[in-house]
Amino acid sequence: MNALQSRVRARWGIVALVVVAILGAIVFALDRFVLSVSPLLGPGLAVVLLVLVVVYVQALYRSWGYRLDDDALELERGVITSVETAVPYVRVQHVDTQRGPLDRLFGLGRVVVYTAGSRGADVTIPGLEPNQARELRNRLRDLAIESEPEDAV
Amino acid sequence: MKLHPLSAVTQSLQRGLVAASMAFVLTGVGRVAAPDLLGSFGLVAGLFVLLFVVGVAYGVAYYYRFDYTLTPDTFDVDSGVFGRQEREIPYRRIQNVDVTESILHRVVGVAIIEIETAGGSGTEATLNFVAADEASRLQREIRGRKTRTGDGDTTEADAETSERGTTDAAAGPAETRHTDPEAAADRLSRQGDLEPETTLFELGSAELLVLALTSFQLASIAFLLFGFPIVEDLVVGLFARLTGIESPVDALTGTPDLAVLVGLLAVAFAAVTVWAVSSVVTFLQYYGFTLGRQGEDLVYERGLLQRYSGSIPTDKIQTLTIRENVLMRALGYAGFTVETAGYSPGQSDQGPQSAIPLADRERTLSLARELEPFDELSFTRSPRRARRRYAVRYTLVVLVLTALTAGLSAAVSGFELWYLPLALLVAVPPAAHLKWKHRGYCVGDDHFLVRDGFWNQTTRIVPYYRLQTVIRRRTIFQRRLNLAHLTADTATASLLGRTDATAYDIEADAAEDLYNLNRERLQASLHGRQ
Repeated sequence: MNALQSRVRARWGIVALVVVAILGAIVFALDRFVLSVSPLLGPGLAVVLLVLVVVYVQALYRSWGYRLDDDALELERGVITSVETAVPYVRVQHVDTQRGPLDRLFGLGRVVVYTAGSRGADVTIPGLEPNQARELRNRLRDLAIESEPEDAV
Repeated sequence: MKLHPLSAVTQSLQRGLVAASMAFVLTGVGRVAAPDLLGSFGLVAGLFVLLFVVGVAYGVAYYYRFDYTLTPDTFDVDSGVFGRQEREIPYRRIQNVDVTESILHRVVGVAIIEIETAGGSGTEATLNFVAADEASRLQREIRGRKTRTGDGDTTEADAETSERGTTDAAAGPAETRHTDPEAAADRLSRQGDLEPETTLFELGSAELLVLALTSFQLASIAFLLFGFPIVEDLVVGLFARLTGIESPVDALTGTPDLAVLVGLLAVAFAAVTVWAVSSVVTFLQYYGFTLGRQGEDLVYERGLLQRYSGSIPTDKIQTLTIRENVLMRALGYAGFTVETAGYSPGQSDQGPQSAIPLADRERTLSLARELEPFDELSFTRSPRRARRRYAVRYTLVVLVLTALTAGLSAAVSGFELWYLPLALLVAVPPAAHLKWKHRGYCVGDDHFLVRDGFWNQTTRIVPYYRLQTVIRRRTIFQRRLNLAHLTADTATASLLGRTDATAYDIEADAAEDLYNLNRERLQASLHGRQ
């Protein structure tokens, strides 16, 4: 299994940090104007959540892996629920590379693989280097074309 | 070709009324903004007429700007008044052609046609509406041309239509594949006597009754929710007159405890009503159900008031689902539905198409085997520790419910029956057992089968060559018990409340094996056809 780029942790962490900060601020404001238990309630919650976020992001990063097998793209991820997905190349409809603003900031990119299936109709591999993402996309495209049963030898 | 001229009339009237109703909104807003200017009745009436005319004009323009054509390879629809849309649908990409006639349509002799392909996010072409015989002509023509263009052309870009194994599965449709479409077309000159080449199944009146009495339709809950307030006064008045108890509502809900008991009674009453409404709806929907085979397509017709006819291409069937609810099982009946990739996730009203709504269980299985020749059903159950998992889960639900009512009783004085939900604990062991007992999977030579559900048991039959992705998942609790879920996903629309072919809580090792096995069998079936 190939691991993701390690800086994807920072990218996930930043998103979580913003959420934690907002939650902390809401609790702080609630305490200030309504509850008045202790001014430390909001910051305390934020610190606890922050620790959880660090642990979770680290665990998520460790759980992530992808591999190009003979017949299928294999993905493995998930902390609480671990999910393994096999996407046979012959079922790939199209492949995207995507780079959001945050991705670009960290020099990352993602590959999205679409199938016609109802569940997991699109699988995303985040945290790749832009070149790596492009190569993976091209490789998947070639594999999808090769595996077309009518054209295979 | 144009739509039926009457559609111009109804559509423009409809659009006219919608546009005209905006007059009230506009004047309502205007009255707040400038009360002196916009107060007069004349203005409202003027605006109403003006908007009505605009709406009618748009409807008429839409009719004249709407055009459909049957070309040799594609079905073309050009539409749009201002923004033009020109759509070409290749025949061999068409998954379903459905014809709907409501009771009013049938009086006038017209029908709505809907054409579905695997792509997109909705119905690809809707002809609302054409003459009934034109509808059956289109249905017939599209079917015929599909067969003609389908022959000798096997290269298909979309994955789900291309892989028909060379196994026995292909033998069925291949035999009827070369039927002369023109000969079939001649027999179909009118919608009224649309006679399929071979009738596979007809729903008998006894079966229809059983189906009606054993079905549950979600729509009937909505009916109850919106319908009851309308008839409430009538029902309460009738109750008072019959029993002589005046204004029972206030007396019965005098104390919170009484209210809870009355509430439970009301739930029981509602359940009976829902069942009755369901029966009527199902009866109307499936009245006169027939299923036939015509070339490569299955064609079905059903409905008493609203006549519905559709086609299911047998070479595009993704999965088969055998459905038997607890009542049907007790009476020895079952039904099955087929899923194609045509319908989009949003179209929950369409749902998977019932190939056989209800028949004797053996008959259902043999008919299903005609479409997908699956092996004997011998299911492997989940290990016993899965049952413990369900028991724990249900117990937790009961305890949370009890905690909620306990909290409520602390807040509301006079509410003492907080321990009532604890009675449900008695039901936990049998519930867990039944859930466990009705789950299982079966690995066939050409199909992967999973079974789930006690109240509504579904047996899903997935041919290996239809697999899209294979998913194995384990939650933190499952890992502790060494269990896993395994999903064999196909290209069917995931409708609300419908689950995929998932084997629940099976041994983690077995799931690992199945994960690899499904992939191997898919490759084998793909290469087997070379």
